[in-house]
Amino acid sequence: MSAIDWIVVAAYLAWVVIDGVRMSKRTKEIDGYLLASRSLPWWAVGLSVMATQLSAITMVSTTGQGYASGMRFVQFYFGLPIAMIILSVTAVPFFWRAKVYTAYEFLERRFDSKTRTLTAFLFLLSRGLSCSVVIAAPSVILSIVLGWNLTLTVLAIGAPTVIYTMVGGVQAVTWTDVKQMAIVVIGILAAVTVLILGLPHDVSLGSALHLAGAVGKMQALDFHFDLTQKYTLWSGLIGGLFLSLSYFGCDQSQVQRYLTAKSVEGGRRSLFVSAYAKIPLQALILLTGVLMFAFFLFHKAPMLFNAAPVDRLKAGPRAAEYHALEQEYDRAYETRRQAAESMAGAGGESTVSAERQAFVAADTEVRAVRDRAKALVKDATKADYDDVNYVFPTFVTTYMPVGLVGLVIAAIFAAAMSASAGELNSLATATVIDIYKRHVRPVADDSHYLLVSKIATAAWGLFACVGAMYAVQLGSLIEVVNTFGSYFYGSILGVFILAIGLKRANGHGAFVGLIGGMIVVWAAVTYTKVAFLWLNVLGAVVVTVIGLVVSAATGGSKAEART
Amino acid sequence: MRTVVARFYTAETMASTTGPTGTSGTKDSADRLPLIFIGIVALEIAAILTLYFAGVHFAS
Repeated sequence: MSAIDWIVVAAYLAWVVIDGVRMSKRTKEIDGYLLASRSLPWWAVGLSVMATQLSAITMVSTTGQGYASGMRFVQFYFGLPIAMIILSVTAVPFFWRAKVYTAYEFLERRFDSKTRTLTAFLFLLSRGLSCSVVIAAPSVILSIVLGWNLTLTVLAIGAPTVIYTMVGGVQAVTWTDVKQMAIVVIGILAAVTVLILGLPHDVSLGSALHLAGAVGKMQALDFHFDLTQKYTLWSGLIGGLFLSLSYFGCDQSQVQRYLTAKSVEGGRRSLFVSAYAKIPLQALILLTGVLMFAFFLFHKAPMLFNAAPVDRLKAGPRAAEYHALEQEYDRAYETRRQAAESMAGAGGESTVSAERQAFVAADTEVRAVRDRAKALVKDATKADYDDVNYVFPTFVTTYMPVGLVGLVIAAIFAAAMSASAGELNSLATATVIDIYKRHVRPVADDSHYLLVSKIATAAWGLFACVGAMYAVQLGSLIEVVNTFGSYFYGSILGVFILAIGLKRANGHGAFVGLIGGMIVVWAAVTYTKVAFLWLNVLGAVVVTVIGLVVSAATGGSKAEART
Repeated sequence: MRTVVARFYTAETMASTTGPTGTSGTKDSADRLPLIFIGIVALEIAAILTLYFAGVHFAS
């Protein structure tokens, strides 16, 4: 990175902290600190909702997925707009009018203390670990690609985030999210522009997309109904719907965003921002990955993008094997480049042309050599190896012009910070409202809870940063955390379905249903190969059924008696 | 669509007896919601079709 890029990144980090601290002037009461006194405009809340969901993992990993697998991942988001419609007439008016600070607080009013405490505990556990991963994942990638010290990278993301979140509360988080969202979109558009301008003069954007399409990367939809397939139209529409209902409707990191809106109508509109913009934004991020594939057809990419394990391999006894593969890769790459030029020159639109067949065969050969290289690294280093997450940072640092490198690195920082800030803020809120105020000190003045909220934010920030440093050392932990979260996402949704939609349900039913749902989902993960999106459907259905049965067996609910 | 929204509002009123208090949605917002919902669903269908035909076009 050049000095100018360093200045851009440093200026961004300074601006984020200063701007966040500036917001603290309006947060002297607990209601202002945690809920912005319900004063924020819908568009700011809407952008904050999107920014909280869009982490650096999305930005780095999704572009990598676009490069490796094409547009298919976009199906993951197909359930989201429908979820927003449902939540806008259920969760938003319920939570907003209940004047609650957390979604779990509502569960005590509807059911009982044990159901509230268990769901809040599950949120704190999963979101706390998730926050570590949100910081760890980009830190390890940036530290390898840019050669930075890992601990310093974690602190460069974590420390400013903790400072502005702790000092400024939810207002600082929301207004910083708005600006960070803008930086992320500008960064992606800058990358797309450089990718398009970087294509050879005689290769149009249409020809580049035809080249990507020839090897299946433009095929976004998979119509097969297969419960073991991760991303299909059906898993996206149905499983994605349940996941989005749970994430946006039951997870405090999102619920707290729309509780800050000026009105129910404002809360609804904030969700509609995601309903309209999420699929196009994700499609753009994936398309960036597809364009990187087209770009690297004409600009030589390294055989493997994650250099650190490769360097270890090259320093060991099997270096000669890797060197031989590199020579093979050079030949296969050159054959593919020539085939791509021929196909693009021929218009690239005939499914049976000799040029197209030659290009597809050459691409298959390049992938085969890469696969053998990955297997060699795995075998030699005795560790998992995947370089998908390193493609975008490698492109940015190698091919983007001075200044824009800093902008895109700042955008990756922005994505990590906006996601973790929303999580830290909600973790502190649930800690103070659902645990401290409920079980430790029910009566105190505002200034006391405000102080405890700031301490909780700092404590969760410290936990996230320390956890991030451990997470990067134990690579598989990231996968464990993601799987762990899927155990109870659907189950928690089931509890809220019982609370909001089924007046026969009572606290015993919800509590037993939640535990039963998590056990069934655990069994499904352990003994079947059901794709994780379907686990959300399974958990929600099981909790609802068990909850209704147990409620009926234990005398129904007070709510039913009142109607 | 109006019926579906009306049912949600009934559910909302039910919940207001179990905890949250306040009025249910105003008539204006209830009137506008079906149109917004239709717009979101229409845009989603358009997005899916666009992605499908783009896939078919660029694969050919």
